[in-house]
Amino acid sequence: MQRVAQGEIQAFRIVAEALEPRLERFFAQLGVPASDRDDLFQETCLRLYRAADRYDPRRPLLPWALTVARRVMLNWHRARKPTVELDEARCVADTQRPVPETGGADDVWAFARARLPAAACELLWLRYGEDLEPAEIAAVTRRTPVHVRVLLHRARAALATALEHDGTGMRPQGGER
Amino acid sequence: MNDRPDTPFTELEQRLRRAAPPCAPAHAARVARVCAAVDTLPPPCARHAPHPAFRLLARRIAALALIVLTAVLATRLATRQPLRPSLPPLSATSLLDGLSTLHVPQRMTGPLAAESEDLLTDLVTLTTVINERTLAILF
Repeated sequence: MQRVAQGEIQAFRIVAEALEPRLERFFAQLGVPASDRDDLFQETCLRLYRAADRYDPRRPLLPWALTVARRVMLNWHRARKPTVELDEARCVADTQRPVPETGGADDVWAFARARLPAAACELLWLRYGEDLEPAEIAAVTRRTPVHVRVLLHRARAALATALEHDGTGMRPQGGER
Repeated sequence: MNDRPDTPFTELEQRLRRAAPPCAPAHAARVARVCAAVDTLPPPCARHAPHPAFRLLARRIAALALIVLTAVLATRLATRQPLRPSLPPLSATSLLDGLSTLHVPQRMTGPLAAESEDLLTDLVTLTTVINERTLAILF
């Protein structure tokens, strides 16, 4: 990003190639339909490019990129009109890219998306899917680290309770707080 | 960065980590579209991006300047001299001397004596009437 900020536009391709799989997975896990992920990725990249001169190289790139991507996604949620996805669109999206492997029958993320609020799913994904630390999640979601820890604890507890009621669950054994 | 290290992962946390889908390879066409869009944009202006250390230094200099200016202002206000009188001092007696020429002495003895006599007559009349009414009530 420093090279991009210095005017080396070609260097942005490296950034885009590195970020595309992470942002694609991030958008997919947070419920963005495949037909809209391309637009969100493009908008995120354009914002990152415009803000390249404000990037602090002492900080990791991924939380910064996820912060921008999250804001783009929130704007998209606000501006979205209720639509019905066409079957043809799903077929087109499936042929465009390989479907990443998921947990299959043990897809606890799909279960979490179905049972938990979106904010809780987002925090769980940032913590266990993107493997961010609570302080980094706090920067991404504009909360305090303590607040993030509390919300994570509640989300884990809610997920464990939902899994237990569903018959596939497990009891939390403490975990981080 | 995490000030409190993770305790041994719970089964749920391990399950969440295991179930996280892996990243697919980068979508070349999507990256190419983004790069093409970026090519149409002007380069980010790096000259507007001061180094983070410079920002910190600039903040410290600004804070120091603010403190110095406050101290200078406070010092000046504390040592401020009272305003010099722009008019010469005036003597009150010299201004009031002319009032004696405006004063016209008047003799009020006659009117006051007549007023006093009228009041006395009224008082006597009132006392007489009260006595008559009071006696009329009693007898």
